Amino acid sequence: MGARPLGLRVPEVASPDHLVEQLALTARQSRPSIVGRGRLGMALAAGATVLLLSVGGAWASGAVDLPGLPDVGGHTPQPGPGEPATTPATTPATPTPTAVAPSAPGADPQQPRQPGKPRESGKRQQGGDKGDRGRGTGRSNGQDQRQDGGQGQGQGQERGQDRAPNRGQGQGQGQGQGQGQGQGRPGENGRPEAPGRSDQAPGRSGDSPGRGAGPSDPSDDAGKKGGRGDTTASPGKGPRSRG
Amino acid sequence: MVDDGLVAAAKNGDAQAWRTLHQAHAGRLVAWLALRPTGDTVASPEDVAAEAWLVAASKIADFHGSSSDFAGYLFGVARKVSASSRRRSVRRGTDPGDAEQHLAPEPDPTLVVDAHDWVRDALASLPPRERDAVGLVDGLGFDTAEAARALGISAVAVRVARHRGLRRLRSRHAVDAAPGAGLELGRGASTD
Repeated sequence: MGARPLGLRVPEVASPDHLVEQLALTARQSRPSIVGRGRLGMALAAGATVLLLSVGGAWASGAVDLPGLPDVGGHTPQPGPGEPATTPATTPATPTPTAVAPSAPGADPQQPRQPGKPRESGKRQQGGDKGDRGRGTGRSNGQDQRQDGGQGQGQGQERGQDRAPNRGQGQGQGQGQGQGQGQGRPGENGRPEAPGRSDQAPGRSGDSPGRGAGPSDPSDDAGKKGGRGDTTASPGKGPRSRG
Repeated sequence: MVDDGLVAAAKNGDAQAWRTLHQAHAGRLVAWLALRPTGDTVASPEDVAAEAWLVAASKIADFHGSSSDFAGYLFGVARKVSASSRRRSVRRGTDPGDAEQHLAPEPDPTLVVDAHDWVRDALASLPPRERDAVGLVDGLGFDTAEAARALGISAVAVRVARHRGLRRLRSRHAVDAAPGAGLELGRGASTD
C-alpha cells in the first residue's frame, strides 16, 4: 500500500449554455454595493454631515454669521438674571403707567370680599400677583387679590400677610381680560386680599395695587417672595373668592 | 487590485468569459461542497454550487482581482450559501424519511462509490474547519491565501487548521495502516 494523496476526485461538470448566459446576464446587471463603492464615499459623506452639523450649531448659537441666513442671537437682548427670557405673548404693545396708589381700589383691604367672584389661583392668595405674569421689583405687602380673571402681569417680590391695611401695595401690572372684582381684606393669615376691580380696559387688568411703597411690617411679613409669577391664570381655574 | 482580462470580461457580461471561469472552477466547487454536508437531502452539492454561481455573478461588481483570485471569491460565496442551506435545513427540521414513505427506495450508486472514496471518508471525520482547510489545500490544490479567502479566515488560521487536520488524520490512519504502509498525507497538493 503506497502513499495516498489527499487529492479529491474532481468531477467533470459541464457548462450548459443557459447557465452561462444566465451568469453573463446577471453579471451585466451587477452593480457595486454600498460597501463595494468604497469606504471613501462613506467617509466623505460622514465628514460633510459633521461639518454641516457643526456649522449649523455655530450659526444657531450665534457664533458665526452666515450670509443668506438671518442673524440669530446677534441683536437679541440678553435677559437679566431675574428676568424671564421671553416676553409673554399677551403683553400689550403699549405699556400703561402703573398706578402707584396706596389707596387704590384694588389695594383697599378693608372691603370685604364679594362672594362668587372668581379667584385666580391659590398662589395668588399668598403673594398677591403671583399669578400675574411679569416681573416685579416692588414689594407689596398687601395681597393683590385681583380678580382679573386672566393673565395678569404681576410684579414682583411681594410680601404677603400684611395685616395693616393700606400698607404696601402689591404692584400689579396685570393684564386682565376679565372684570374681576377682587377685594382685599386685611390679610388674614397671610391672605389679605386686595380689593381691586380689575380694569375693564382690554388688556390691562387693574392697576391694582401699585408699587409697594408703603412700609411693610417685617414681623408680619411672611417672607413670601412672590418673585415672578409666570403662571398665567385663566378665568375659571382659580378658586372662587370667598364672601 | 486590478482585474485581469478574464475577470473584466466577466464583469461586462461576456458569456465566453463565464464559460471559461465555470469550466475552471465548477468541478472543484462541487467536490468541495460535497465535503460540507448541508443536512438537506434535497440540496445536493450541485444545487448549492449553482446557487453559488448565481450569487457570485450577481455580486461580481464587488470583486476585484485576477482569475486565480476568483476561486477564493467563488468558494467564499459558496461557503456562505452552503451555510445558509444548512441553517435552513435545521430550521425546517424535516425528516427525510417522509419522502421515502411516498417514493420507492432506489439504490444510490453514488453511495457505493463514496464508500470507496476513502479520502472523503477520512475528511468527513475531521472537524469542519480542519476539513475545509485540508480539503481546499490538500484536496483541491488551493494555496493558503486562496483558502483563507474562501473560508473567510486568516492564512495563519488556515495553516493551523490544516496542520491539526493532517495530524488527526495521521493518528487515525496509523492505527489502521499496516506496518510499512506509510501515509503521506498532505503531500503533493500543498503549496505552502
